[in-house]
Amino acid sequence: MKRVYVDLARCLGCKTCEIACAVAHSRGRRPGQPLMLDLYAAIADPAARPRVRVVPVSQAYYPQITLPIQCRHCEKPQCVAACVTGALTRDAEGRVNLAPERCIGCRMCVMLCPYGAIRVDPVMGVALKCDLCPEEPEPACVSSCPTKALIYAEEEELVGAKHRRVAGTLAEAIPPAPGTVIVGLGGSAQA
Amino acid sequence: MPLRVVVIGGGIAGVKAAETVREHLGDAEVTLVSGERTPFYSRPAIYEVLAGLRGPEDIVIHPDDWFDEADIQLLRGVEASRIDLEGRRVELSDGRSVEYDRLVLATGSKPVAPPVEGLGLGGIHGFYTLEDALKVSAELSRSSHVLVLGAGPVGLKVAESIVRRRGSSARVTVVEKLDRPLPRFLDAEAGEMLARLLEDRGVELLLGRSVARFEGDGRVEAAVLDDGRRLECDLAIVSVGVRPNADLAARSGIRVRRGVVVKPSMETSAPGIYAAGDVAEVEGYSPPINPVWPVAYEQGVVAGLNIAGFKTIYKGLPLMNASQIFGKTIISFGEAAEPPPGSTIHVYRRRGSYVKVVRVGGRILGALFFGEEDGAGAMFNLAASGLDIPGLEALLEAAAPGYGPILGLRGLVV
Repeated sequence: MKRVYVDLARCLGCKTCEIACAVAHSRGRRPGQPLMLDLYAAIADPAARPRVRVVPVSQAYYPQITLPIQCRHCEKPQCVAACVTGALTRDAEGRVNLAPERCIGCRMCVMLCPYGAIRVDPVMGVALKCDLCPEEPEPACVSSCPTKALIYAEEEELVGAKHRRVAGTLAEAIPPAPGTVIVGLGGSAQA
Repeated sequence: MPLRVVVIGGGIAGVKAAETVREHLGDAEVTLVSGERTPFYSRPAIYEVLAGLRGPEDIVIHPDDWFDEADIQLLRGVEASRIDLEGRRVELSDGRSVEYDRLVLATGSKPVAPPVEGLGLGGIHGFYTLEDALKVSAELSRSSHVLVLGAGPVGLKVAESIVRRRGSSARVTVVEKLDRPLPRFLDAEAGEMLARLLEDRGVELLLGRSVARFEGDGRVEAAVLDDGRRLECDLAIVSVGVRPNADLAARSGIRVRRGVVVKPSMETSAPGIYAAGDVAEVEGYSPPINPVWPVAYEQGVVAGLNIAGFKTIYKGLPLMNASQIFGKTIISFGEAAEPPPGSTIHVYRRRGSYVKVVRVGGRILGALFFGEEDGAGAMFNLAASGLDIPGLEALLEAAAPGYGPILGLRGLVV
C-alpha cells in the first residue's frame, strides 16, 4: 500500500500541506480541479480543517526541523483497538478508515495514537484523520508540497539512501505496539 | 475432533476473543453466550442514546447475523449459570448446556450497589447496559429532578447527557463522596476546572457528600444526604463504580480475588479456562483490573491467540480514561491524579486547558490533559512503554510558549 513519507531535509515547515488538506476536505471541493481554485470555497466552509499538521520534531534536540504528521495507516493500529463504536476500521489494503457518522468524539483514539495523528474537530466533535484523499489523484498534502518533501509511494519504491533512511525511520515506527515506540530521530534514543 | 471454544460474555472482550479464535482456527467450533438481549453494541455510546442523539440501532457494532457470517454460534439472551469444571460443561439459564474444550470468561463489570437504604425503590437505576439506558431514557421524559450518585466517568456522562437532552427543563444533581469529580483520574486543579464547567452547564454538583437513604412510596421521591439535607428527586442513577462480574467464576470454583485471577496469558486457575476484559484481574500487574475498552479489546485478542496456539501475553496498560464532557477533552492515564512521592511534575496551563505530566527521571508515570489533546498520544505510549528517555527533563521544559503545551514533545515519536 502507498503511504505518505517525508524527506526531512526538504520540509521547510511552510504549512502549505495543511491548507491543501483543508481545501481537499472542504465542502465544494471539485476533485480534479487544481486545489487552489477551490481555496475560496474552502475559506467559506467553517468545517474545513486539515488532517495533516506540521510540528516541530523536537525543540530540545532539533530546533530547526519540522515534520508534517498525518495518519501512518499502521499495520496494528491502536486507534482501531481503542475505537469504542467501530468508527475506525482497517481495510484489506491496509488503510485505516474513519466513518465519522459513527464517531462519538470519545477521545480514546486521541489518547492511543502515538503520532498525534488523530484529533477531534472542535466544531463537529468527531475525529479527524488522514484518508489519503481517495477522491484526488494523490493526497493533497503531497501534490501541494512546494519543496517535494512529501512522497507518496510504496515503501519498496523509495530509492536512494536518503529516502531509504527516511522511509526506514517511519516504517519501523509503523506498528507502534506499546514497547516499540521509536523515540527521537537519528537514534538519540531508541526502544 | 474440532476444538470447542465457548465464550461467555458479548462485550468487546468476548467478541474479540471469539473473532480471534475464528480467524486462526478454521475448524474450531466457536460459541458465544451473551446474557444481553440487544445486539453487540458500543457500551460507551449508550450515553448518546440517553441524550437522544442516537437511537439504539445507531450504536450497534455487529448485528446478530454478523456472527452467522463469521461462523460463530451466538446464544443470545441466555446467561451461563454454572461451569462444571470436571465435565467441561457450561450450564445455561434456559436449561441447556454447552460443552467446551476452551472457555473464555468475559462477563464484564457490574455496577456497585452502595449500602444505601431504599435502593430498591422504583425510579432508581444502575447505568451499565443499553437496556439500562433505554429504561432511564423512557423515565427521563417524565422526570423533573434527577439525582446522580457518584461523579465518576459513568455518573458525569449521565448528567451531561440529561442536560443535552432536557436542557433546563430537568434539574440534575450529582452527589459525590470525594472532594472532586472524576477523583480517580483528575487532580484538585483539573477537578476544579471540571466542576466549574459542569456548574456552568447547569449540573448541580455536591462534593464531599453522600446519600444516606432514598425515600418514597414505592417510587423514589427524595434522597436524604449524610448531612441531613433532603433532596427531592423523581429519578436516581446510582453510579458509584463498577466491579468485576465474577460471581459465575467464583461459584464454579475458579480462583477469584476481586476479579477472576489470570496470568498474563489470560489463563485462570482452571485448566483450559481464560478470562478477559473487565472481569479479569491480572496477577502482579498494576492496575490488575483495568475496566476500559482498549484493555478489554487487547485481552480478548490475547486470550483468543493463546487458545489458537499462539503463545502471547498481555503486556499491561496503565490505568486510563479518555472522555469528553460538554466538548472538553479529558484524558488521564497512569499516576496522574496522585503522583507518587519522589516524582517530578510538569504543568502547562493555557486559558481553559491544563496539562500535567508526571515523571521519575526519564520515565513518564502518567499524565492528564484537560481541554487539550496535543501530546496526549505520545505521552500515553511513552508511559505504557516504560521507556527511560534520555533528556526527558529538558524536553518537558522546552515546551515553548507559542507552540502550545508540550507540542514539541509530539515530534518525539515519529
